[in-house]
Amino acid sequence: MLLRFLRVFALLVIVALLVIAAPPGLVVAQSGTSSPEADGSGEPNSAEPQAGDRSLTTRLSFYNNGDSGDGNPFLDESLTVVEPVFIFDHQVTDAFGYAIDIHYDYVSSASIDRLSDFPEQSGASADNYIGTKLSGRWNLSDGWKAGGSFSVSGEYDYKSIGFGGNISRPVAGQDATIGLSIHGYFDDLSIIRYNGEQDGNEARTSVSTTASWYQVLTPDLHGSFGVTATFQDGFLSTPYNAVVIEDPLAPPNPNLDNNALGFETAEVLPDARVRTAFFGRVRGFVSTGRAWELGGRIYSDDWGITSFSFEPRWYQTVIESKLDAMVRYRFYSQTAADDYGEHFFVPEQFMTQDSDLAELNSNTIGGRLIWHLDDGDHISLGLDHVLRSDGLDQILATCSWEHSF
Amino acid sequence: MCRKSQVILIALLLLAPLAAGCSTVEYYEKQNLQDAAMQFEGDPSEVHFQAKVYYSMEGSAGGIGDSGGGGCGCY
Repeated sequence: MLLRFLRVFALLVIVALLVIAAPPGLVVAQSGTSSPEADGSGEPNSAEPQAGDRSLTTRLSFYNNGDSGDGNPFLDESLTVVEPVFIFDHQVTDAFGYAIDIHYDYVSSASIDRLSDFPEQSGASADNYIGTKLSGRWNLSDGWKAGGSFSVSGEYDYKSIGFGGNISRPVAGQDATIGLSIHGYFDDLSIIRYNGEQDGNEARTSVSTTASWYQVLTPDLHGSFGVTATFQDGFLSTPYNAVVIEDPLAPPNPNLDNNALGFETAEVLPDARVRTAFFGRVRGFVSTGRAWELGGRIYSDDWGITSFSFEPRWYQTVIESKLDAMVRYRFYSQTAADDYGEHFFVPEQFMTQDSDLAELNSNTIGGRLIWHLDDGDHISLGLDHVLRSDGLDQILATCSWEHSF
Repeated sequence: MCRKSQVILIALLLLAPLAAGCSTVEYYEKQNLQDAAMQFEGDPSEVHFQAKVYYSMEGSAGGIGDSGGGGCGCY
């Protein structure tokens, strides 16, 4: 697995080196499009920030999925997340800017609530996540851009440190920008099992690298394409996930949602995972204030999951300079992980009943409205409804206000 | 249609427009690409939320936000 990841990583580095070694681009002068973002995506910003620009974005997001006997029949998988986010962004000079992100999650779920049955897990009736990220971006010469980030986050049973870096550059004569980014997360987990037992601490490392390519295709069409390779190593199970070993001779288990006959044991998953995702989207101009977009992703990993998603969007200016709208649809389909099973009758080396690792399809319908205020601020409202084949339907809602000063 | 065929079809749909990238578009032809509706949005707070929700509630990751996994206890 490590060898496979290294091969993918080496390929990405070779591609990046070939691009970096090419003659400096003239595309910035030729293109007339705005410059790409310094996040390695290679995608353009609509308005390049000017020196002295500052903004504060406040966002409140809400996520909910209920469980009326859907998904894993043994467990209640209902979940609610409320997430306020604050982002301060400052373009200090034409060449340098930075941003500070603060995220907080209030997570209320049946799995966490269950831990409140165990007095030693005080405070586990809800979980609180807080994370912060400091990122910097630099405009270099000849259209080159670079960025870096450092993040820390933590929960009741989880701590993480993250590092990131990215670089992008225009490609001479091709109306294109290519980018490369790498991110690493180093996590420390306090293992709290489904029954409240503490099982020491474990580490998890995730390194992911993305090569991306932005391309002007025609006078009315541009797109962005990329590949992400991720290698994860360490404790990759979900600590509080349980697997039910069914036994017709056992008494009904009162801890299970359906009082099934059997006993619970901890989920066990391999301690390494290599994940690859190819993604892309193209956007086409229809008329002033109207555009379509077609996006998609193909994903595969060595746990046996293959997935693809397909996401058309429509962008429409409703009131010029005042109100923009976007509607989107997303189809998502995945195969089950090799170690997923709906039923287990004997313990196996690796086993999970996590519904998110099962075969599933989902259809998402949603959209967003953006009000542009007179002073340059804007307010955004977003809503998505996810209909899953396993019945664990989801609602995602967001509301944000960006204040520039 | 089998899954392999679906994957190939989606890949072709995504990659087909790249053929158009072989010819350079002149700067004076790019006015439409500057339209507000044509800008790839990059609202980091929305991307963060979408990535976290999708990554934690689905078995796949990558292509949304700046990472293909990690950095999240994820419910």
